[in-house]
Amino acid sequence: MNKPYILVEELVKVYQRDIVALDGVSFSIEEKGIVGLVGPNGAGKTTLIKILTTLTRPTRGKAVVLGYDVERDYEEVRSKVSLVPQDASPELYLTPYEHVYWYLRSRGMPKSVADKLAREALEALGLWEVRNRVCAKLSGGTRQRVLIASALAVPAEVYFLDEPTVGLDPIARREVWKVLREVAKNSLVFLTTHYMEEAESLSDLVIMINKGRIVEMGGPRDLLGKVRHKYRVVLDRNADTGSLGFRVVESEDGKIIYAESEGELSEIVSELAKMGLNFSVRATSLEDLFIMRVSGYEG
Amino acid sequence: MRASRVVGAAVFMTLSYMKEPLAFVSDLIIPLVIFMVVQLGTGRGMESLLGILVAVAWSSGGFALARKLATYRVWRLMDIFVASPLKPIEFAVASALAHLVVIIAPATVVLAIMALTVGVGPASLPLIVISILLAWFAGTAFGLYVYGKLADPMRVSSVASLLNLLLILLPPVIYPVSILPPELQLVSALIPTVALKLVAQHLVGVPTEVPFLMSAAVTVAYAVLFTTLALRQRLTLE
Repeated sequence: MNKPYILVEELVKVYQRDIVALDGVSFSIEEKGIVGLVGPNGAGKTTLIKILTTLTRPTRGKAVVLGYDVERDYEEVRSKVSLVPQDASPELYLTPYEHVYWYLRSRGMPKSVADKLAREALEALGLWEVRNRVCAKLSGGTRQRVLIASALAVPAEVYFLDEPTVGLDPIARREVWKVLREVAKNSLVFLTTHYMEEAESLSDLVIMINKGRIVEMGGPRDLLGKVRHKYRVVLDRNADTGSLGFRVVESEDGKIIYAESEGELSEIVSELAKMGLNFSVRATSLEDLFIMRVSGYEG
Repeated sequence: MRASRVVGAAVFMTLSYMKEPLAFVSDLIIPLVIFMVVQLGTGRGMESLLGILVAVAWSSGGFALARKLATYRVWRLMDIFVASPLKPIEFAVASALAHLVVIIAPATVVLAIMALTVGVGPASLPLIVISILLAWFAGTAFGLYVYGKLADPMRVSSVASLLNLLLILLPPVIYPVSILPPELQLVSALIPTVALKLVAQHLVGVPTEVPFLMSAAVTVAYAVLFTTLALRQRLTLE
């Protein structure tokens, strides 16, 4: 493949009331595999997916998918991509089989091909047993898998999945990961996720985004290699850390103190023990890199 | 335009209605009560039944379609159709065809009542079908326009209900135009649904006070207007 799967240059999206969703995003994806776009709510993940799938227009900048400009050549882009939107619902009165099959037919697939692809997708996503039950009678997680099956059944070159595993139980999530890995052998899977652990274990390339800007990008191992602080100490959110001689970062998990070395870690641990505070220690992960970049902890 | 894609999307949309084949019954209750009152009071039940057929076709093409598309937008299902080879015009045609299928069941019931009560022969059937198709076409264009015009899909349902009241229940669609004072009869014929009913009356041979040319001209004018407006709407893009 000569042309990049996705090329984005200085992409800006400003919504009404001057809300800036994307603020000069640039990147290029040259190889197939899984790309995980991670970031908090409102970071611009969904807006980026919407632009790349031609659902919305950029305010400025350039977005090219498979060599086609998303604004000028939107019909070519649409014919080569497949999408799982965020917070979507399948047609509730259809069965999973009908949903996948007739969606494929609406994309112009012949009967026999649509039938074969629908069966394969339903089996791969563990939906075969419930293929003839209307979606209204299925659980939220199963409905989500119906949407994923509809998108992945399409023989597309790029799959866009916007938070596809939200609402899935851990087992179903891992089943979806397995299918995505299979799909990514021949095409590009571009997914957004809240779960840093998902991005870390699933993606070949991770793009971290915050407030409409890319804060970090690279392979999970390369990114982890960039983290100078190798340990994280997590304290209760209400812990009194005012007199501590270490920098403390507030996060969803609680208060975090990072340590660069074992020596520094033992200093922190002994001080916390003296103060009688409860804490846990583990190695840093991509989530920590993200916290550090956003909070300015490390460069 | 590729027929296979249109058929695929149309069936996708139709299946949900087919799972609830009797959903139309509640929609027919009020019109049929009006029909009985009109038939017993004035003996002009045929006029009323033609009005019901026009109302069914207009509502299905118009309001039901707009509601369906709005629901798809809220569910984000619309996004998976946009991000696909299905062109906006193909999606619009598929939506229209899906809602033509929806007319079949209630129209069959009304035609059966027509045959049993006011005695309509088979010769009138093709003309009645033409009337239904006319109303469906104009209603569809209107529904696509209404859907495209409303930025907030949550408002489509309430707007559709209001328009249903203004275009179906209040004007003389289900009840005879002749009930109105003479000066209002011509004015009412300027309402698209009334004009459609009057065209149906002319086609089937049910006498009306409004000239055929006027009803036909109003119908054609609205059909052209709504179609033009619908085509100008960006159905699925931002």
